[in-house]
Amino acid sequence: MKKIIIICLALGFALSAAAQTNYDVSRISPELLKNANAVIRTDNTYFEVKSAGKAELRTLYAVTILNNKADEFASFYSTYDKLVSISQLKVTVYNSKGEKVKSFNKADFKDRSLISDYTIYQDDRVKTLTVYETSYPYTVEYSEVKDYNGILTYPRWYTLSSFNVSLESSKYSISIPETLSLRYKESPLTKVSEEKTDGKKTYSWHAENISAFKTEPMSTGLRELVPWAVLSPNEFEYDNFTGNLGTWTSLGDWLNQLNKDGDILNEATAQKVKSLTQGVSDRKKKIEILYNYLQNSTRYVSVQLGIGGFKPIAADKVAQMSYGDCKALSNYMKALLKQVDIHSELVVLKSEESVDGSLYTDFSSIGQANHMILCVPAAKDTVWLECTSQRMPFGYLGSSNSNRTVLLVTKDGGKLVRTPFYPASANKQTRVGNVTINASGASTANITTEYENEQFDDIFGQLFREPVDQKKFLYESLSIANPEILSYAYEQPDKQKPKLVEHVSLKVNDLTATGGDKLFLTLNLMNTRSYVPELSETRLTNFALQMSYSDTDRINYELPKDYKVEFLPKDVQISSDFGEFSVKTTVEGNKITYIRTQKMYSKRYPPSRFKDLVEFYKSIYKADKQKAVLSKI
Amino acid sequence: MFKHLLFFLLISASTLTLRAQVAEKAPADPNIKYGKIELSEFQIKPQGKDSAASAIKIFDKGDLKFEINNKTSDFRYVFTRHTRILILKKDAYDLADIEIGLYKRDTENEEILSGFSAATYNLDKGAISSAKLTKEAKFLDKFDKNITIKKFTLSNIQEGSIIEYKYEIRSDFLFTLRDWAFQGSIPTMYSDFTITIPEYFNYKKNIHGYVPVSVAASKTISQNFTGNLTGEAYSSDRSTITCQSTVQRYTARDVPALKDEAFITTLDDYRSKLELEIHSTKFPNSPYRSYTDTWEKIVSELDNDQNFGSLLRSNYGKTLASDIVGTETDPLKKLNKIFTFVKQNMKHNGEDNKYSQQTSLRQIIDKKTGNVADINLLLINLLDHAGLNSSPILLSTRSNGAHPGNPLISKFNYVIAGVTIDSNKYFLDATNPINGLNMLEFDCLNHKGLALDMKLKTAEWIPLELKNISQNALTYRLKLSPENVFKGMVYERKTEFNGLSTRQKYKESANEEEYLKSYKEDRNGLKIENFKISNIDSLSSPITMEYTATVEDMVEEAGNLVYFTPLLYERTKENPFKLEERNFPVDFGFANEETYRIIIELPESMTVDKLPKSEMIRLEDNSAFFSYVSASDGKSISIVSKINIGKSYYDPESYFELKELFKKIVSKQAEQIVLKKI
Repeated sequence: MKKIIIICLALGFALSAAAQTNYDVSRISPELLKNANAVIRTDNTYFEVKSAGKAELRTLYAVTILNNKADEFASFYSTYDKLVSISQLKVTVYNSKGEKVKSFNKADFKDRSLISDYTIYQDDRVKTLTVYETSYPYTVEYSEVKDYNGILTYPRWYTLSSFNVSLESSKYSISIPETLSLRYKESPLTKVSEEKTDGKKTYSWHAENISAFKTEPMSTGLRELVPWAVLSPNEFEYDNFTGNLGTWTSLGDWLNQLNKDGDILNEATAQKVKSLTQGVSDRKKKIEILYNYLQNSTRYVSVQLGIGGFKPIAADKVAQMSYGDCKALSNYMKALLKQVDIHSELVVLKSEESVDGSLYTDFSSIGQANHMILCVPAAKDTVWLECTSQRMPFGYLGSSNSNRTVLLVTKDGGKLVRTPFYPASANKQTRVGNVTINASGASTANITTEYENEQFDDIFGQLFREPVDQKKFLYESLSIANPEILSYAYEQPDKQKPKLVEHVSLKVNDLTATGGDKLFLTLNLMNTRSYVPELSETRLTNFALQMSYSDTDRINYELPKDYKVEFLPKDVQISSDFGEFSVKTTVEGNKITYIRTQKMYSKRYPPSRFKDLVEFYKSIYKADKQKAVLSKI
Repeated sequence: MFKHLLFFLLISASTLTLRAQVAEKAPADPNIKYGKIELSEFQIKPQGKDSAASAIKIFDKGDLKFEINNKTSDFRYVFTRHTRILILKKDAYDLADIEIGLYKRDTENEEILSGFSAATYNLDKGAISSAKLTKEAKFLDKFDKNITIKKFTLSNIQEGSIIEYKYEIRSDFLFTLRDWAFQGSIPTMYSDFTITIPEYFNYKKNIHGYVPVSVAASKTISQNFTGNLTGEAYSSDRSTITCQSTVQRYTARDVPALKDEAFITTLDDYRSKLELEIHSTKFPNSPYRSYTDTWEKIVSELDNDQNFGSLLRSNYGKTLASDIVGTETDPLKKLNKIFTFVKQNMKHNGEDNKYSQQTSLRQIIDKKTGNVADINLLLINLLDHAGLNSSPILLSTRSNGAHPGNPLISKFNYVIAGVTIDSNKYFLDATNPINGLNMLEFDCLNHKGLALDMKLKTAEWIPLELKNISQNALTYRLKLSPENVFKGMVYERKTEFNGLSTRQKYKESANEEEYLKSYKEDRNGLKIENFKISNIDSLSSPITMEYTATVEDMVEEAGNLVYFTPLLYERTKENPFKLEERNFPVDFGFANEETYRIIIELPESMTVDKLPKSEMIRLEDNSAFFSYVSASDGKSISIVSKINIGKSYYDPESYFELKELFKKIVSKQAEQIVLKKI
């Protein structure tokens, strides 16, 4: 593959806006213009660590916007807080010939607070500026200098993260005093160059001429195809705290220290715990009782300030306020358990819906994680608790926490472990439908569907909505033409189990399509694949199936009295490493029974397998459209 | 039973007009004393449609008065609010995080929050326990240089908690006073707003929505204002002035929660609320001053505004206009040249506004970017200099909500250009390069605009509907092979809004290949060759597309029968109207017609077994219809399906008929053609 040419040079890193500013668009190699909406001309980062808690970041970035599809690259933002200040900020715009058109300085940026939807307060702020140009192409150069007064993470190096963007040149360089040390993890497509001078160590990476990648369906992104490096300090100082992030063990040690004596409870709460668990001997039952108490007496409120972004609010405080963020609530739960002599451990993890949200096993850094849960270890029956939800069934983690490598914060420091995996066979959707067909009017259908584990995640919220909204959702999600809901109900048979049952009773006006005196019945009532991804000749990125699951639909049709089955489609059975699919139809008297099963495995696959997936989906698409033909007796 | 019949709300062309009557007698007020929670309040259950509500507002009481601000030596208002909410479900826990936004223009003019207190009450074994708001649960977020958000997080929230809070806001901004919403996302048992306004001020009071609001007969009281009133307007030798003030009280009871529906403008248009905008002032030592009395006054003020009128009159655009026009003399061609120039040289920064950000035309031209007013006021200026009779048209976008119709400047958020040539009227919006003449983006399709005459200082409402119905005509000429594959030609023709949205999609795609990829996304089994698209840049012409199509996987076989739905990919698969009833009008934004024709040549080996019957269904007033015509000569089949939605806007009364129409469309378009193999 000649796509990527990377040259790693050991070079003394000089970075200034005047260094190389010939942004004439005609100088861009034609190879880089292919499939590109933008070309990153320069992307230089220089991070100078002056001491464990002080650093300076210099960035010079220039991008040529080729057309309006890349306008987003002309928006800039720079974040800061009380530990990070911006000392220089500049944007210069050049026309296609590389001539300067206009420039903006720090005062031209808009300043506002940077608050995410779920956070009530954090001290981060952002300066933003958007360049609007009418004639393409044009080039925007951005430079900034930031001062760090507290360091927990180092900037990462990432050459390309967007599709349809090319890169001309990217350099990353970090220098640290010899007295400090750092660690890095780099992609196999690059190699660091190291240098020692004047009591400083410098690590540099460099890449050039990477052509744009086209967008591809179901892609897992460009990570395997472009050079990158992630870095982390060992020794650090942050908001008056020091520590060492050198290994997951030491990182866990630090978190442990931060949390020291944070699990002491006031007398009233201690009494409450005692009275709740009085007479209960079963250990797991005790955990369940206290978890339910946590769920019923607290709510999620996020406040992130300085070290508060990492250090949980003390349990006693949570007891008083009845709210907290993921850290505060996990730690509070830990404190509750401690009252009944049950030992538990905080868990640091990356919570997201993705095929692999694991922490790197060979590279420890604080920046990888974004969430905290609690683990109650046991030889056989370890319990995992997501403490921010007031409704999560006991011990259930949901798809954004499950099946990944996470860090257990133990008294001996951090330990990497895996969270539970919910296999396809556990993530079930089981449906039974009984349908009475009416040739001239509305057919009736009674459908019961059970959703379990990760399939339960998506539907769980329905249980708590108002009837108007539940009905609206049902109408939107039922893929049946012209349905009329007669009645419906949702139930969670056991509050402690991730399983939801949905009963729907329908009048369906167009269940069968007419063709003269014949009726056409699409046998798959409501679980139809309607999308088959497009196959491209030259796929480059890996792809993934997001969730492992298994669906079973069993639909029993009762035919109108004066009709008989004239034709039934053939049974289908497909098996591959993506999953299994089968359809089986049988007739008995005036009844048709249709059974469809689909099981899919969440995995990553190489690009070469995409055509097989398209074929697999195509077969399902075809099978799902199949109709039985009924004719008058 | 007392009568609630206070406001009849009539809808005429998306405007809510209002007729008020005076209340007879109101039921007793709820217990409104801060900190005094009755046991019975914990037992409250929401009623009727809202019976499953996650919380209920027990009361929401507001009060607005005037006082003297000694810093500015001028009046300001004091807004007091006191709210009590019963939390029933976890979904409503967010209500315990209270956010109050405060605006500050400069050191003189600002909003100040004071006296915020709040508490949570829980019922514990028959006794009420309370938790007060603590200092560390108060947060201040300086959002940007003008806006500060104060946040308060209540503790001890559980299902069944009652939360209560009160606060005061002092504001120097007297042009519009605080809106009062009687209706919110949770049901409200009692909403009460009292305003006390000194005789010096006269405010317009606009009530919107579908919920009855009772207005008590107004009272007049005498008020003393003490302070350092230095302004010429006051009796300057006194530190206390006495005046008559009018007290007006608005109440609403058992207000249901407001819920979102499809095909609406913005939910806020349907919310019951009171808006107050200044009408006039009359201070003792100064003459009567009317603010937005009449459209004539509004136009005069806009004309004098440096961010509006003076830009229209600026001579800076003169040379530029003549450069663009050159030697062209035909008015319509001149218009197009200038329109194209502004579209190509000005980039919209995404902000809607009726006022320019700039005070000189030169700045606008130099910046090459700006908000809606920057761009369209420049357009009007240039058109004027080119000798075309051009004037601004103000409008309120769909997301900004319907304009109530009376002279009220603040409700507009958008300005476009209107031009008359040979008694033909054109409207122009240069913010999107693909907008043609008389073409507006969806958010602007809010049915009407206010055309200003800057010379005569007059204004009149004009319809801003798209001139013609937006058409989407598709023609398939296909030959069916014995192997059940269709091959042939597809033609598409899209006018007005349908043309605009296709242009937009095409322009947003990186290239034609990407466009076709997204075109084929929901057309499984379609292969496209020889694709041609015309008039992408010829904005006044319909978009036309044609291609050679191969359609696989559409036909199914059952024994010797072969069948398929003739609509192929163009079937309306679901009824957009699913709910049993609807209170809001159905607002499509534009009239639309979709015509689908297919002519299929059959192979020798097949004959027609069954064809769907021709059928037609229409709304009683003929404003929408669906027709389906089938024909065959044995060798070929022709089907024509037409959906015509003749109006952009339908009253809620038409909902049922529209629903039935779409029900028919869905079932008819699903019907199969059955062929027989010979």
